[in-house]
Amino acid sequence: MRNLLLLFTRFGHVLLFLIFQLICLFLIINYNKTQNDIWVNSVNVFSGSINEKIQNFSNYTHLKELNDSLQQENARLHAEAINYRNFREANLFNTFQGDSSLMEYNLVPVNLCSKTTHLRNNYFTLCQGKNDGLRKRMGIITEKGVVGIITNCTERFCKSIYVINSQSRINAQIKTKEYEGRVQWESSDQRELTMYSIPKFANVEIGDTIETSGRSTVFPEGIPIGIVSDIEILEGQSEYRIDVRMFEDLSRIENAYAIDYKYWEEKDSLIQVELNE
Amino acid sequence: MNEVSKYGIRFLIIFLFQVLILKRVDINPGGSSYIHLLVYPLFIMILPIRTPKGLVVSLGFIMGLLIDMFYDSPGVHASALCFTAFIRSFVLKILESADGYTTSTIPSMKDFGITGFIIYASILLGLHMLFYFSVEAFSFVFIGEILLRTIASFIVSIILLILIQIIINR
Repeated sequence: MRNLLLLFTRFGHVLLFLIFQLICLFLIINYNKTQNDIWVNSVNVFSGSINEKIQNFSNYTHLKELNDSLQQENARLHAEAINYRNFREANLFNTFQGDSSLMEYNLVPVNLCSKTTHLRNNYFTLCQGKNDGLRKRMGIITEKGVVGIITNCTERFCKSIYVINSQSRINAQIKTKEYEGRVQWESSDQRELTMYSIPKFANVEIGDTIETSGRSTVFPEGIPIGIVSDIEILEGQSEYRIDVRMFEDLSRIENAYAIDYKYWEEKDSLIQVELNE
Repeated sequence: MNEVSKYGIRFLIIFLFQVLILKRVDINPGGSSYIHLLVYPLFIMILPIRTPKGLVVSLGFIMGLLIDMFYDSPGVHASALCFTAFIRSFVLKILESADGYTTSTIPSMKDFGITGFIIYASILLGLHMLFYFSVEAFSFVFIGEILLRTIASFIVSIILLILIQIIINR
């Protein structure tokens, strides 16, 4: 302590000088126009070159992921087409392909403008709107699974609710077992969904795939959601509480598809009537 | 009259002379701006040698800030005068004669002699100006302009500074 004091009496003025110079530097940079310009410029040149290198690098790594997912999607589509061609009678696929009125679902490619994934109620905005053929209550998917549902549309933009929003409910089923339930988001984990309404006698196992049931007009049947990661029977109840691990990491999505169901008005109006009765 | 009020009055005289009079004097030929009249470092120069170094640096900073208020250049004069106050002790050490300083030595013409004081003031003012114009330009890209301004301003300012010192000391 004594030494420290001695040190300070000897070099205190050096310390003071350095502190004052720092204060001056701060003042000069913040309140003088020309100096501020020079400072900002120099800092930008410095940080800009570093940022550019980082950006290049991350773009490069990103490219690979993008490429992979595109490849996978292409593979899936190819396989589907080939299966369909082989499965159906000769030439039926040609008529199917040629007659667009037979296609009930149509996919619109969309981009995410902005998004939040860290809140309780997460939303995202699409850069496309009514002008691009979007509307309220369209499902948003990627090749890996469900992303969300459009809640509101303007001419150029659409606001959408994420699956990982505490208000989101999605009809789902267990693949090959056909039991239906609803999927919602309760945990704070961005990839963990919870499924309810599966009866106790259903033979659910860890690793089963959960997919959409196609009962509503929002999603067609068979869009993947995730796999069962944990099962629990609720005390005194007759249903499971199933933890679902999502296939898609929602925080990293930039491109997706909106699902347009051709007869949505007709079907929705019927469902609406039923609900009202 | 005690020391504090004596130096307080000197501070006021030098400060007011700088911001009220010298700031308005423009003796640049044509539209150029090479000559800046800066005499306020005089106050830091004439502080007694026994003044604590920390106090000298602090006074330099405070005076610089006050000057900046009138020159609309927050930090520029403060930075320069703080630097001048900091190097004062080194300059004094270099100029120290064989028999050294006594506790009552004051950097003035009486104690240093006219030549001695002019050398002392020239070194400090020259370095002050170099630092000031460097900070003002804020980039050594303008090194030629910085040197030109330093030399031009120094020549005029040092004459003024010596004159004021003679007047104050009477």
